[in-house]
Amino acid sequence: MPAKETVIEVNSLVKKYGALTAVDNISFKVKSGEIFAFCGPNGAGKTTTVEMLECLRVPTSGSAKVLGLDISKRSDLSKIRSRIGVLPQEFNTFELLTVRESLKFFGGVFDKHLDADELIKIIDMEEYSNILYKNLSGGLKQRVGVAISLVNDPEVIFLDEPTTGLDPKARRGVWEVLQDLKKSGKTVFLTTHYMDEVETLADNVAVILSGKIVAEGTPRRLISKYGGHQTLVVEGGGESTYKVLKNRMKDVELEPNGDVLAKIHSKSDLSDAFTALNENKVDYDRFSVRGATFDDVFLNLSGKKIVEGKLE
Amino acid sequence: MRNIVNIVKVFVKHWYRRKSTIFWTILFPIMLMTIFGSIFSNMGESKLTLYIQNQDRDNGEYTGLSQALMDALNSTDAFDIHEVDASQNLDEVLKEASNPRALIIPQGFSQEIQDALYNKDSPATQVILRRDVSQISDPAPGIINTVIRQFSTHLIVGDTREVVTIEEEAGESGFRYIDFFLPGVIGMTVMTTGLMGAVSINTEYRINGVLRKLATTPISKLDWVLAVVLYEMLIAFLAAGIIIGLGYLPISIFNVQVSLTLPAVLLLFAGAFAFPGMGMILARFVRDPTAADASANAIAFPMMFLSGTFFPIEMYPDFLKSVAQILPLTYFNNGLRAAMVDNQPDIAITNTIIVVILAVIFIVIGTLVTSWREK
Repeated sequence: MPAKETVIEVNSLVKKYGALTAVDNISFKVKSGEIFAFCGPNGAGKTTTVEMLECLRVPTSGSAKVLGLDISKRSDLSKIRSRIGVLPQEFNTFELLTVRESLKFFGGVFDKHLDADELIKIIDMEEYSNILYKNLSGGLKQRVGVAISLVNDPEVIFLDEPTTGLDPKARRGVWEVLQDLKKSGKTVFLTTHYMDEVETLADNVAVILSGKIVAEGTPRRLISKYGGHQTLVVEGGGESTYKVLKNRMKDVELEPNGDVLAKIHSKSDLSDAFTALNENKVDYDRFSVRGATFDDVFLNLSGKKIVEGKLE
Repeated sequence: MRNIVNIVKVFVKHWYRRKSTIFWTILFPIMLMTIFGSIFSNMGESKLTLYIQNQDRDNGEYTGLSQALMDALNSTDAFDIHEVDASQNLDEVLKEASNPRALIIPQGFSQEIQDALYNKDSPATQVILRRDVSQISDPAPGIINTVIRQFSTHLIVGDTREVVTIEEEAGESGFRYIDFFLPGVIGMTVMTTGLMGAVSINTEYRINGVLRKLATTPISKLDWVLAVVLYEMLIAFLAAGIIIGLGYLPISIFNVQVSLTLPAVLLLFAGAFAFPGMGMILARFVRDPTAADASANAIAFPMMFLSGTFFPIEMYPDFLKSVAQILPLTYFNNGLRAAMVDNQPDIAITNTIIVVILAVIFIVIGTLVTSWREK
């Protein structure tokens, strides 16, 4: 396998609207063939960034290259546009065209384009090809949007919050399509405020808060760095377990339902805990180790949770 | 160019898949024409005006039989009878009339009837009805016919012979409101479909995000603007075609055969470009869909009334006359009227040039102000 080349390179990018700095001096790289998640709450600067990369907005300062082409260079704009695919936020297409007609229309806009039926197969919507767009469910509409973003057989696909507002089943449907895209070698740039989406899909993630990137890396690395500790859960352990563990470990809590939660600070904590439980012949139902999730990463970075895109 | 054609195709598909738009483009002008046509095709005539020139005199008095025919016509109560002296030139009189319709009782009328009563082979006596034959819905000939048939029957009991018949003559065509109104309806339709259509297409696709998607493709702002304008032009042509076609229908109450001269066609093109161009400008400044429709209405309706669509501008008070001067629809209406009905090519061409210039200005400004990609 050849070394992965950089397809998006962003250096000190800034976008100001009057006094407001929407994107504040960000830099990152996206490698070929990966799903790169750009994660943050509403208003953090995700869409502004992605629209600068799509050549829809002009940066205030800084630079960015997409597929080696400069987004600030007029002569490069049409070259970039012909090689990228875009699913805008709150995507819609012509509501009284069928799925196939819509794909044909957008195909006709590009000199080089994929066949409509081939695209319908990619999004797995063969049985909906003659249905009017307005009669599709939200998840299927988003899949049509993904297909439209693929009409020109792009090398990089920008998806701005592709699953916002969808029910869990519909979201999984979109995820499957995105995973298939990755398998076919496309680079996917994804903005999202769903942490599970980051964990499930992303090879690399940048977390953006108030226009600044606060963390970047693989989701797993970020979880181990910012997710906090794993927790030993002793179910049904009760008072006796609590007392035994309290003597050996730092953070131990007894839940009202009798479960005991103990934070694992070091690798030896876990063996110490079991040794103590065995020595004291403490009775409990079962145990488990709960890992940190990307939710914890976000919580620890921002001090807040994201609920439907809003910080809480 | 390919993009423009493709977008127009998409709009046309939306047009026929959206039943309500079909209704408004086709049925609205028909409704309007039917209503206004019925109301105004005989406007001002509660009684039918009938000029009678009785040339059959004896010692300065009308002969008995000719007087009896006039009395019979008068007794129907259908006519507002104006007697025209035999010494007067009837053509001059009719030229001034708003409803030029005249019955001429020729000299020797009485004598011929009497001859006919005694001699079965003598030809029937003729009276002449001169009228605007383009007015197919004119009820006057029917009434006059009935009166004359009864008149004959009274004269010769038990005989079906017609001793008096009517000879119709094509006379002056009078001023009819519908003649004035028809180009106005065309102007109004082209204006409203163009202006409102362009505003609503723009706001609809801006709000639902389709424009944002199109902006990410090689489709340019100019492609979009021209596609909207072209589509609205097609719709305006369809509506104008229906109205013009209605005018040609022989059964219709609004029988007006407009002439589709070269200036008329050019003017239709120019108008069909100018008003959507105006709409593109408006759509740029009013983004909210409800406000956009309201502002389109707020411009279209006053313009409709102030541009001589329903009433001649000469009837307006002075300050409204000057308002009419700055409204594009005024020039469009005046031009259409001159080209289609009044046959005044000079006036038609002048107005066509004005509308063409306005169309170019509106489309250029419309394209410049339409925001496509954000700054």
